Amino acid sequence: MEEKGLRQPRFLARLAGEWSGDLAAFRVVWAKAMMWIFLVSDSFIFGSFLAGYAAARLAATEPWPDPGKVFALHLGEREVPLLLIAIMTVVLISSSGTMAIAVYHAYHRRKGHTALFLLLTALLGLTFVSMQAFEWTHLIRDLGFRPWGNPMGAPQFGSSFFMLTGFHGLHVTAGVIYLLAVASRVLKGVYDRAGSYVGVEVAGLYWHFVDLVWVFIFAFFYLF
Amino acid sequence: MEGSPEIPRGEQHQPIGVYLAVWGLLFVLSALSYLLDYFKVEPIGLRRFLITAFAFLKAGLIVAYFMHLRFERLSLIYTILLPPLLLVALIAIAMAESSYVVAMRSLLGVN
Repeated sequence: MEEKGLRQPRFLARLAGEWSGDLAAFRVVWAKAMMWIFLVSDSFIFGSFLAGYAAARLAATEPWPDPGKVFALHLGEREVPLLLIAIMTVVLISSSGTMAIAVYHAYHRRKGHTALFLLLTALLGLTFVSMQAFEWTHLIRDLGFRPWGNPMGAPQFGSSFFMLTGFHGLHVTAGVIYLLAVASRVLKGVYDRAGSYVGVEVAGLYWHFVDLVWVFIFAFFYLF
Repeated sequence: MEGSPEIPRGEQHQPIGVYLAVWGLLFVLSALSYLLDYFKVEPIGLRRFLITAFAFLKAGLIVAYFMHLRFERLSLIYTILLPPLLLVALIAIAMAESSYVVAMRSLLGVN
């Protein structure tokens, strides 16, 4: 590296030049690249939670409570394991499907269809959060689960559960607000005036990521 | 559509049938995972392997088709997919370490 190259104006120009080179390297609009980078960092948050969960569960000396029993629902006289969780999974996958269709319509700049499927996605997300609130209430009030202990086994169960699903639920809640904001922008014609519906696609990335995280929570917390 | 500068190449070519097919596959894989647990398929190692495999398959479908990553440039794909590999290392270390922790706890009789 040359000495004089470090003098400020040239240095700054070079730095700017390299970053604009990076922008061309990805060839997506900046909003999309930034959302992806945010999601990569977010995956580290959830990945660290999963690492913590794995460590806490494997290091527990008491038996781990069976999620199938903890999250069972009674249908008449039968006890169906993980019924509510299965319904929540169906709802979240459906919301990802409606989101994909909203993005599909956004590519074709169909304002009404895009807004309709965005609102449908938000509604499904709200349903998911409501069921999670029900699940938490049942677990805390009826079954006596706390972050520091529970009557069914290893105390680490509660802390892992509330941390993982709480943080995920927070993401779903934020996503519902985000989708409602984007839907209102679609209806107001903001994207028509801007000549680009890419905002819908960026919101879609966030929403699919929330579904993606649930895939791993469902597999590794509930089914393992 | 081809001339619109804000729409990168490739994306708008995905017909709606692809979304519906992926959607259906996600349902099928989730149902299979649930059934593996419902019927407590033995041995447990096989059940856990299949549940893990289905989870990664679902994740791949979501990222590739719903998030369109398959149709992005390779530079973006690597920027996104390589860093999370560190998480695999982190999880492996955490799991290896916890076997020592549980041995110590059992030895000393603490929780």
